[in-house]
Amino acid sequence: MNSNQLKPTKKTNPIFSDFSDDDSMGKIIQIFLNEIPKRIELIENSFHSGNKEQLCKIIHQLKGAGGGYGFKLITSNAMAFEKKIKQAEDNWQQATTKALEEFVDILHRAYAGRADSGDT
Amino acid sequence: MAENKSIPKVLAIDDSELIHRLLEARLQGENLELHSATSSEEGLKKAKLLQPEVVLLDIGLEGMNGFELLTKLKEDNETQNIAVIFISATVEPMDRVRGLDMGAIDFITKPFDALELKARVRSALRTQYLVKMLEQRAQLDGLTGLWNRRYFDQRLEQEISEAKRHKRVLTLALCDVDRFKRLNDQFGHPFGDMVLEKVAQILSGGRTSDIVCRYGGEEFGLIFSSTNIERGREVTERLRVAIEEAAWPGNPDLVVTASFGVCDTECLDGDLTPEAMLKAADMALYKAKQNGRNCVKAAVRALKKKQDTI
Repeated sequence: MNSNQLKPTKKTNPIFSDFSDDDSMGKIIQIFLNEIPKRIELIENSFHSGNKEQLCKIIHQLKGAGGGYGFKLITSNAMAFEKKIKQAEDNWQQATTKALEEFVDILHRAYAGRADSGDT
Repeated sequence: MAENKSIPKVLAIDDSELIHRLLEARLQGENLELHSATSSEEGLKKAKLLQPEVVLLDIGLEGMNGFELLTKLKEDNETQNIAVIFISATVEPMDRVRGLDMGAIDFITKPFDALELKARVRSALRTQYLVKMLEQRAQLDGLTGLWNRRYFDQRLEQEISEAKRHKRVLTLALCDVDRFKRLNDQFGHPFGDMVLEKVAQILSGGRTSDIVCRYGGEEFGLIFSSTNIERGREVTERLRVAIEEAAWPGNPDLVVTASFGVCDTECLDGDLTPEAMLKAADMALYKAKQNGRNCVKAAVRALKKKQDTI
């Protein structure tokens, strides 16, 4: 991860998938969670390099998939973040910094809730 | 004529691996074969190749978007009847209206509910099955259960086109039950119908790859793909003998016979068309009748010879 990576903004309060008890989903939820650091890095890199198109694509994908993996908060936050990016004009990074922080925080919380995180 | 009971195929076209994994998990256990494509180009290629019953199509694809891909699918004869369900995180009503107006049959919003996803896919597959069954029934002959003339005409054109494209040989045979009017007059129409059913059964008992149709009345058409005239003659000769040897309940001494005219693509001069092949096979059949019936004649060679000698 690069030096620009945002750390969780508050004490990590894990969130868990609504489908944690669904055997058919267990494996892919773990894959989804294990890929979160990579996605956070992509989001942050896109944001800081001003690559709005790539950022929107990642956010859009997480908006579509988050709820499907049992993380409605990921979908709702991605939706809010995407909306803010689309509404923002010239200074879009400045206008969406807070939304980025909130979204990344949600991703960190989901990651903290993964089965092998050590959290109990 | 067996109806298609193979496992239906569903092709998911979405550029997100997250969605493919989710679909795979959620549709596991359903009676379907799930295929995936991560770009519109790959999706179009797979739709043509796999001929899925249903395509789950993301709107926000890069390059060619979902709407553009749907247009391509609907423009192509090979893919226009595939049922397309849009899956999208877009909730704009106008996008839904646009998609449905363009020919999509349904719309699923991401993130999707697993039960709703399954129900919508099942519903689409059920509709596709019924549509295909109706299409197939409309192409079957009511008495014999063979393909009907409408299907025969379409299929012959298609087979000739394939034969030309792949430089393959194709044999066409026409079969006519001998003195059928006399059979009808002597034994009655129900017996005549029984003869047609039995002959149809014998003709369709040949090789599985052969296409057997009721051409009209007591005449049948047989299309032998990738088969030359020599092999076509052998096959039809066996069928002719089988018809001659068939037993007729209540009429143990009766012998029903049929005449065959055969031609293949190799022997035709000029344009290779369904009309030319039918004409050649019909001429051969006429010669078989002239020759005393109950025989196989290959008019194509005779036709070429005749043309060569002009």
